[in-house]
Amino acid sequence: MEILKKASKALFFALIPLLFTTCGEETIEVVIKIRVDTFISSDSTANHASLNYLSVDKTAEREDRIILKLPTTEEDFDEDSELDKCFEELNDNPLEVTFSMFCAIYFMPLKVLTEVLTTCDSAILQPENLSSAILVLNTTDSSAVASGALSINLLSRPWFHTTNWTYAHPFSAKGRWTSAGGDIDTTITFENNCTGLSTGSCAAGEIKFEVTDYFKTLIQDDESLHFGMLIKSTGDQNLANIHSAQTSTELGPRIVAQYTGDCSDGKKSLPKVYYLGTPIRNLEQGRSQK
Amino acid sequence: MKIYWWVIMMFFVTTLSFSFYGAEGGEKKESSSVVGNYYLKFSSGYAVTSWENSPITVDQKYLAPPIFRLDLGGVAEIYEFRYSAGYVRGMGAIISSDQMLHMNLKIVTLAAGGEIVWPTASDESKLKDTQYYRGSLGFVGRVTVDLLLADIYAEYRQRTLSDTPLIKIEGIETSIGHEYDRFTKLGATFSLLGLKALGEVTWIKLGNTAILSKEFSTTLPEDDIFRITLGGGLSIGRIELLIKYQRLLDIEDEVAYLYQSTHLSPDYLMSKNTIFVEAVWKF
Repeated sequence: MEILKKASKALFFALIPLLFTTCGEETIEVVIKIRVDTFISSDSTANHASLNYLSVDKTAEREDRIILKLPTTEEDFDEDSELDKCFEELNDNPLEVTFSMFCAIYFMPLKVLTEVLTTCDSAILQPENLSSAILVLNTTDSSAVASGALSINLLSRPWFHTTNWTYAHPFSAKGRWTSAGGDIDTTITFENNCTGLSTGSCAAGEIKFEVTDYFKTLIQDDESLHFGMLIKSTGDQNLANIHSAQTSTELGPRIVAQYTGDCSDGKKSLPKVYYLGTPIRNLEQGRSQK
Repeated sequence: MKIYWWVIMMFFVTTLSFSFYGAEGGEKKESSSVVGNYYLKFSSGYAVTSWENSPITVDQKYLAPPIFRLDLGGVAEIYEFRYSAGYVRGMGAIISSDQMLHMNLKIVTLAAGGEIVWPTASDESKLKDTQYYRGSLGFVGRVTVDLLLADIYAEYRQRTLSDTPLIKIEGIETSIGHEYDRFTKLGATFSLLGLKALGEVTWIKLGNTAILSKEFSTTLPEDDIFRITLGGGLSIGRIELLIKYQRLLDIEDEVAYLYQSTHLSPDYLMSKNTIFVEAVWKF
């Protein structure tokens, strides 16, 4: 028994250096909830921003389209300071545009990610380690939406919560969409729903869009601009109700991003305990090791 | 707010005391619309035209001119003052005050000083937490030429407006901010045989406006509009009764205007055509 105890101690102390060396490759999944979304209808100017569902469909008589936007910073937003910056920019660059310009508040989803960092995660949560980014939505009744039935595009201008089929925002006569139903940025394209996914597949009630390349571009550039995305039917489609950002469930629109990297920055904060005779176990929940 | 009222009342009592001490006998010639050392004016406005759409924050019926407004003003030696309280439907009273240095140079009068505008509202007010519930600090300067039957005057007023919340949707608050607004006014009043007439043209430059939240931004560039004011009435002893018509010109974007211009009192700019009636007691 004494020998066993001594051997265990020796093994324990021999394994301590492992705490400060590479743990091997890790995959970290980060979920970024969409904060702002709505749907616009071709036959109504009603404001749908506060509803707990989104609608997307298309018939000969009418069409509904979903508009949503990746969130910006989670940090405290100082309106007074940002307004001052806005006026500085306006005075440096007097407006000579055909529609109301926006203040260059750079939308940085990466800042959202920094809120969930631990010291080890920071080594992995780098843009170059992004292995997958999927925009996920869920129907309210778990009904299936056929693969390829929905398309997604970037929007090319800012829109307000009260947007509708005709207007992006209500603050100016120039707030009208150039193209009714939303102004699309055609320079970047995406696959239709549930096609070309970099990881996983669509389960019942799930609508997924592959956005890895775009998301990586967004988080690599501190001055990237993101106005939002438009989801619409590719053909005639029965009404599909989808959980909105106002849902009380966890099924609101979200980006599920996976980062795969080597946690070897020497600042590991994950506690690891090695028990003789039992598998190496990570006490942190919700993570996977390779 | 109680503290604010107390300060205003103290200031009012102090300045009135000073002005009575320095008062001269007899009528003084007009400075802008002031006849005599002091005046008390009651006015009310009526918006003749409405906008095609209301702003998203409030129904435009709450943007009507003050149901009534009371002004107390006057000149005492080198000091000129004005205190106003305009009651706006859907908000409460908008308090404003000019505090100016006044200098008489024979037929020319100079005045310069500051202005403060302060809104009051209960929590149930429709205009609370909108772009219209905002204060301002400003500068005012005026030159008046006193002719036999007429006064001709020029006034410059500049207001720095406070930033305000605009609306809250999806748990996200949107704010609105303005750069300073400028008012350059030329006017003339004519008095003859108990009749009085006035005409003014004001060039108003509305400063840049920004609407901002965590998830949205847009800007409305500075804009020039013009205000024409024509009025006429009777001047009977120390009482004047006037009716004025005010028209705003050159508003290119009426949608944007409702966010760029937030003036309800002392200047009212929330209707293209407005009629005011005034009763002035000079003492």
